[in-house]
Amino acid sequence: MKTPKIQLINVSVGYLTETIIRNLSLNIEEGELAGIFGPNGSGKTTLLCAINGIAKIPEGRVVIDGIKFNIFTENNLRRTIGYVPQHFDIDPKLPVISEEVILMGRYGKMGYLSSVGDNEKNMLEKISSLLEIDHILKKPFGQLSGGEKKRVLIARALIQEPEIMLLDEIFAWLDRDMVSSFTGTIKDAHKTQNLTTLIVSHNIEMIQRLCSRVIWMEEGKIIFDGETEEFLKKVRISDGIN
Amino acid sequence: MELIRFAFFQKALVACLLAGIACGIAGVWIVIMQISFIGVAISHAAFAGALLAILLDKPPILFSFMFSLLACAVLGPLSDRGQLHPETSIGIIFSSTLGLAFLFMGVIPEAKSQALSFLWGSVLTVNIQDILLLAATAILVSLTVILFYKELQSVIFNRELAKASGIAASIFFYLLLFLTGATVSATLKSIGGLLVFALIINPAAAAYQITYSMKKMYLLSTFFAVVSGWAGLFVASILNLPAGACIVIVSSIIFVVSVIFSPKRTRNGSRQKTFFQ
Repeated sequence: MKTPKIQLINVSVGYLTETIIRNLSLNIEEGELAGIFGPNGSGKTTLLCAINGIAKIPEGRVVIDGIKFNIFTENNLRRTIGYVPQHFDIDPKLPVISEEVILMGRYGKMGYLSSVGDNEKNMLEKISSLLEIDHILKKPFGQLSGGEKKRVLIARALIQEPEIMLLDEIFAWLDRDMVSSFTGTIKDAHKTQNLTTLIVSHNIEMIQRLCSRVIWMEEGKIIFDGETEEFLKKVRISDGIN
Repeated sequence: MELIRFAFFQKALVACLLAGIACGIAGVWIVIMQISFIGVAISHAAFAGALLAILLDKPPILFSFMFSLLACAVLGPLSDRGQLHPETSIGIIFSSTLGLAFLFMGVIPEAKSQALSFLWGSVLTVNIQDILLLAATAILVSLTVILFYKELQSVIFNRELAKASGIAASIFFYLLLFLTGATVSATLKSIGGLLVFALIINPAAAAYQITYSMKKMYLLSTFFAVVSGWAGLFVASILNLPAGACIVIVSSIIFVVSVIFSPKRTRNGSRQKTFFQ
């Protein structure tokens, strides 16, 4: 039997005294494209942060490719996980340009005492062209619009050449054309690189267009986990009742 | 200019150069990460350590170094884990170290001049050992930036994202705190515990107003810190004023001028492109 790409085993996560995720278990297979759906505060973002080890996990285990997340493995595992956060507020005066923000995604893989070379520059060129951000590469990152920042952060995650992609509300701040272009990029990356992708979104249309599996969360628990069609049927029935 | 011929003044100039390099670089980390209060707490811990050393008749630099490291060891995890509100926990550490400093000051039996020299600094009395210590600190801080530039850039830009891309963000964050503590300890005698932090913050804050390049910010911050040191030293010598205070006032003037002429200021809602961009 094949080892799941991502395994969460009885995971509980909380901040201070509040428990956000309660005793949650979940398997994601290699190459899956799953959407995480649910109301605000249901634990969707915390789930992504548990998978890449940003959130501290007092109970349970997170296993990536059969390797348990711990202080000895975490940095190597994180290098295989691209992450695009939901919120990213930053001082507009910050002395960092967009190109540097993208390249930072590569620093973990490059290793210590190495500098940006032709390989990284070629990847930067390719990804920025794919995401149509060539014209903003030299702009200060803090001065970009919300949508531009999102695109730069997606480029930052892609330059990492991840095996797993965690995308948190990436369709927020984007105009209709950009959403359409993004869905294409995600589908392409998923197909060509067999990228295991988890998308947190409030946008049911996007989840329908992209994902074959939907995980529905409420109050830190998984309420539904199944095929998108089945999920949509449930939503329609629920809407009909309401 | 005749002052330059005197050995004590030459040593003071060298001390200002080395302190400027270390403070200028540490300032970039503190200003970009917006953790100024952590730095203030570290500098007061170093001051309290120096006073305890005087009380126990031990080397002040060693004790100030130990105290600043202890402050880093407490502040780092508190800030990292977010178990307490950072401002609250740092405020507690800051007030505790300040309380300890005044307690030690109160119980020092003999004249308080040595203790006060750690408060205000006395760059004109630095000796070769002090200069060697400053040189070692400046080299350590500079080498760290040169060797780990990309990791530090990623961590000071955003610790969470740095961590997410596989960089040992916590280790680098503690390293930055440790080097800031070392810088404060090494400059305690020349600049003083109360004033050293202004020399860390002001030049970096001035550089922040001018450039969108982090490399240029390091260079400008260091340049402003060294210029503050040298100009302050000359002003103090000419007008017969305390050197540490003059250095800090010059650095404050540089900051005010940089804010007034900052190319990053917005006019009529439009963003200005900076000359140093």
